[in-house]
Formats: sequence, structure tokens, C-alpha cells
Amino acid sequence: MLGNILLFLLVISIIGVAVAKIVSDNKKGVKCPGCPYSKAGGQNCSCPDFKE
Amino acid sequence: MRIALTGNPNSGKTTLFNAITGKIEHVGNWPGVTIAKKEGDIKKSLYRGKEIIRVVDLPGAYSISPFSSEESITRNFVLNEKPDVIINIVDTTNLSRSLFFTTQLLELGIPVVVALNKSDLLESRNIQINLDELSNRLGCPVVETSSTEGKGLAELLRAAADRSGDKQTAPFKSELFDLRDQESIEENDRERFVFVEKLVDEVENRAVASHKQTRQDAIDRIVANKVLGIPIFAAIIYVIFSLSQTYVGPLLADILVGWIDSLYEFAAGLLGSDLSPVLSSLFLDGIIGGVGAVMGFLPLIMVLFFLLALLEDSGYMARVAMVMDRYLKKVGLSGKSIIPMVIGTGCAIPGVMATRTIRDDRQRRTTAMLTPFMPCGAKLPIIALFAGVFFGDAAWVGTSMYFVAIGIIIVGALLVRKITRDSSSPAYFIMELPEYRLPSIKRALVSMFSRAKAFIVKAATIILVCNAAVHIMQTFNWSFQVVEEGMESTSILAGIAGPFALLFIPLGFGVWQLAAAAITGFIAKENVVGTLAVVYGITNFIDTEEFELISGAGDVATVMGLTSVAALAYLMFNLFTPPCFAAIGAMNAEMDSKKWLWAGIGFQFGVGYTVAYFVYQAGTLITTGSFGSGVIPGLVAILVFAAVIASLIRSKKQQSEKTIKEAV
Repeated sequence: MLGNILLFLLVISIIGVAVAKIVSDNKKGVKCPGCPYSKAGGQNCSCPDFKE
Repeated sequence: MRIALTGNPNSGKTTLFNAITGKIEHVGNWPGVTIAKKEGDIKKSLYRGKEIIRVVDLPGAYSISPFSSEESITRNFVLNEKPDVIINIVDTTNLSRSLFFTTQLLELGIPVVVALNKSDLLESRNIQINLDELSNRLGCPVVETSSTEGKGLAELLRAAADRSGDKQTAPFKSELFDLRDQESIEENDRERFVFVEKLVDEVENRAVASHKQTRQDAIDRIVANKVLGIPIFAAIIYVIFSLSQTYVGPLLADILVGWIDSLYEFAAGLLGSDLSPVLSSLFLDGIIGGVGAVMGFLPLIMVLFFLLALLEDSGYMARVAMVMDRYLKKVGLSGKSIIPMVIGTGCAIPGVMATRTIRDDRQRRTTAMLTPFMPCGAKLPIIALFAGVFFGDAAWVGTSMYFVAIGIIIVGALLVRKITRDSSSPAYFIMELPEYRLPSIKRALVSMFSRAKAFIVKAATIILVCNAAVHIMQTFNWSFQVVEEGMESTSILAGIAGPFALLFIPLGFGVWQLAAAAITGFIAKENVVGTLAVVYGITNFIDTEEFELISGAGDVATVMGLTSVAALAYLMFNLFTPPCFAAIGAMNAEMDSKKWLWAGIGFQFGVGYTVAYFVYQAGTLITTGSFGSGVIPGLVAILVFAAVIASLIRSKKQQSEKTIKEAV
């Protein structure tokens, strides 16, 4: 029983850390953790007035 | 204190930025790599002053008057955000062209320090520059630097820090002229050129042999030749895939997979058999097995990225852009469209972002729609898996995916041109061809490890969470009871993916497991491999017994139950349907039109489906003598797709005819 609880906590904490990283990156504007240039988005484009 | 790094494209700004900040921003030996500004603090080892110095790396610009969007970023930053000092990076081997921009910067009144970069090349080019005279004439400090060798950086930063708060005088002052008058602008530019030429004559001494064909010219005559260019590119990509996926990559992959297997066995031994099988399986097969299956491909990808970085550093990619330009121009795309596509081979997101350098709306949106067809880094594990399992590690699989993508891009551009009935002539593509150089192993290693880190972060976050979710959905049925072994088709995952699987019957992979993997691929393409590992219970796609990629190929192929033709169709479907959501977000930002975005996604789905259908049905006909299952429903679906495109072309034609009649 204790073993199951510990394993459950381990699994939850691994998934929790991964989700927390995704959420925290998302708050920083990173759409896809690990992706280069993942802050891609309109707000990151400093040249909207240029588009004809 | 804030310092702006400015200079012409390919003068080495980002390399200098990386050297003084310790950051690892993407660099390449061709113009246009940097498309947005980047910031970083200076390393303490280079500057020991009390003040924190923040450096802003700006996209390359030839002039302060913006011609492209990158130039407008540079102009807006320098004019509006007023940095304390400007470090103007000047390509020392091309002084006359670089100083045009320098003289414009000096007019702004912000203190400037000129970095004569690439100074390591002066001796071999037989060029001498009188630094003191140049500094006197410009009215600002001039420091010789070599960002690749780290030479002169501390001196440059000291000079920049000392200049903060100084006034800047301009050696050349433009007379007031009407900015709306093209002739006045050109006249002013001519005067500036005369000034710069005179200045260069006084400070530079170079051995000129312009009539002589250089070694670089001789190489360009072959690699950028209109007939030989594409076969040479194909051969290079083939060699790269052979090395990364057949020879070197698998050797390294085998070692890593051995470690992952050991970890799996260690964890299994630690858990024993007394614990809950559901939890144990989630931990072992869902998390360790699923993530491990994706991670197993890391060495192959690292070798591939290393070789691509070498290629990029050599200056060859600019020649590829030049070779492709003539084909893209014929289908109505801007010559500039090739740059996003080349960048997109690394990751579709920066590739799509790079389309902002294209001024014409239609060309920019078309390029943003077509760029994700290029196989990006995230799609490489899928290519490696299927090439290994079904085609004996054949390097032609990966190579051909690039050329199928180019073919799709050309046909796609042609269709968009017909739909939009655009008759404007494509913009001329002017690109400075960088000099060939011996690629730096260090830079390639830095690029490789940076991308490897990104891959690991992705595997430990998105892929881990997705694999866990897939495993849970496969373990439970809709009543939240554990499904019995052999009854996985009653699971939640099968329930969700099942209806999609029906649509894939004409493509040869109408089973829920493959449909589930394709769906999770839209979150991140690497998920296709991770999900296949979870749903088929395969923890190792790479055998540890033999130094050969997927030597147990027969077994994996049997488990998946696919023919080689269906496997190729599945691979192409995953490669040529819409990219991951993050890349779609980038498409949305750059297209700046919901109509174009949805049309683009629809087009990508249609193309992926059509290509997979024809590969499967034609392949099955050739190999077995009869069509595969679902040939008629699939054909109907494709005819509907074709009819939609045809009606769009017709309606646009009628619309333009109506407009002409009204005008008449």
C-alpha cells in the first residue's frame, strides 16, 4: 500500500514538474517549451506597421 | 547602460553578441539569419566595470532608411529607444560598403564605436587599414575585432563604456532634403558614396585583382550552376542523412538506448511485482518507455544538426537559396521565400517568422503557408523511425522527403497564384553571397548541443505529459475501469482516435493506434514516435545488441501491421499535414489574416491526405497488382478537395472579369 502511494506521488510529481514548466513557460510567452524562437506571435513582431 | 550592435548583414553581429554575452543565438554564414532583436548582459570576464551593460543585437541593415522589415527594426530601435552607445560592426574585408551605414549612424548624435570585425582575414586578403586615420576621419574609436577568435572584444567593450555620455560628431552631414522625393534621396546617397569612397581610398590599402577568377568563383560556377545545383544539393543531403542515420548516428544511439534500457530495467526491478500494475505500467511504459523511445533518436538528430551546422557555416546555404530562386520566381513567389524555407528545415517556427522580411502580402502569406512543409527537426525522429523499421535505414527516405516537400511547395505556390490571380511580377532577389570558409567545429558543436538541449527539454515536458495522458487514456475505458489485455480497442484513446482511423483507411493506416499517434503529432511532431511507443508497448526502437539502427525492424514492423507502402504513406501524412500548434500560432501571427490561416491549414490537410493516398494506392497497385482498401471513398475525398480549389480559382476568375467589365 505504502509502495503504491509512493509510486503515485512519484508519478504525480514527475508529471506535475513537467506541467509546471509548460505553464511557467507559457506565462513567459513561450508557446512550446524547448522550441527555438517559441515566443513567435504578433506581440513579438516589432514591425506590424511595415506590412503592406 | 545599453549598447546596440548594428551593422550590415553577415558582418558577424550575432557571433560577436554570443561571444560577449555567452548566449547561444543562431548564427549562420549568410545574410538574414537575425530577424528580430535579441538582448543579453555582457560577461563579467570581458568587462569588470561596476555598471551592468546590456547589449541589443539588431538585424543587419545596409542603410538607416528601411528597405526591409529587419532594417525597420534596426532603425526604430536606434531612433526611438536611443541606446547609450552604438557598436557598429563593420566587415573589414568590405569597408566601402559598410561605411555607408556607419556615416548614417554617426549623424544620429549617439556615441559610436566602430568594430572592424573579421580582422583575422586581413592578412590573407593582403589588406592594410590605417586604424588611427580611420578613427580620426570618422570621429569615433575604431577597434579591430574577430568575433570568431574572440580578439579585441574586451578592448571594444572598454571603448564603448568610455564613450557613454559623449557627444558624437558626424564627418558627413546630409543636407536637408525631401524624404518623399526619390531623386533627392538618390542624390544624397550618391554624395555619401563619394565621401565613403574617398575615405576608403585614404585609409585602406588592398591588393586588387578583380579580373582574376577566385577559387570561390570557380566553386560557385559548379554548385550554383542552374543544371548541376539541384543534383549537388541532393547529393549533399543524401550524404548527411547517410552519416546521421545509417553510419555514425546509430552507433551513438545504441549507447544511449543501452542506458535507457538499463534505467528501465533498474526501475522495473526496484518496483517489483507487488505494486499496482496500472501505476507501474504508467511509470515504466508511459513515462520511461515513451520518453525513452523518443530520446533514443537524440544522437541521430545531433549528428544531423552538427552536419547541417557545418554546411550552414561553410556559406553553402546561400548558394542553395540562389539555385532555388529561379524555380520559386516562376511560380510567383519572392526570391526571398527560400530563406524561410531553409530556416524551416531546423524548426518551422523561426522559418515562418522569417517570412516577415517579404514585403508583398500575398507572397508573405503564401510562404508562411508553405514553409511548414519542409521537414523540420521535430519530424526527423519520425523519418528515422520509419526509414529504420521499414526501409533498412535507407538514406534515400529522408533525402526524398526534402525533395517531395520542395515539389509540394512549388505546386502549392502555383495553385495559390491561380486562386489569388496575382499577376504582379515577383520581386528580384538580391542576396550577398558570403565567402566560403572552413566550417568551425566549435560553432557546429555549440549549435548541435543547443538544439539537443531544446530536444531534451521538449521530451521532458510536452512529450512526457502527452505520453502519460496517452497511456492513461489507453489504460481506462469510458467507465473509468481498467481495460483488460487484448481489449484496448474499448479504451478512451481508441474511442477518440477510432473515428479518425476510418478516414485513414484509404491511406493504408486505418487503425486507432496510428490515428492516435498522428493526432498527438499536432501538439509536437516528436509525439508521433512517443505515442507509437506507448500504444504498441515498444520501449526501444533501437536494438542494443547490434550496432545497427532498429535491427529488430521486422518485429516492430510486424507489431504495427503496416506494409512498407502504407508506412511510407503514414510518414508522408505526418510530414505534410499541418505543423505543430506552436508553428500554426506563428503562421497566424505572420499571415495576419484569419481567412488565410484557415485556408492554409485546410490546404495543408488536403495536401497531406492527397499525397498519402496516392503513395498508398499507387504503391499497393504496383506491389500487389490491385488497389488498397478504401480506394473509392478516398478518391471522393480528394475530388472534393480538388473541386474546392477549382471553384476558388473559378470564382476569383469571374470576380476579376466582372471588375474588368465594370471598369470598361
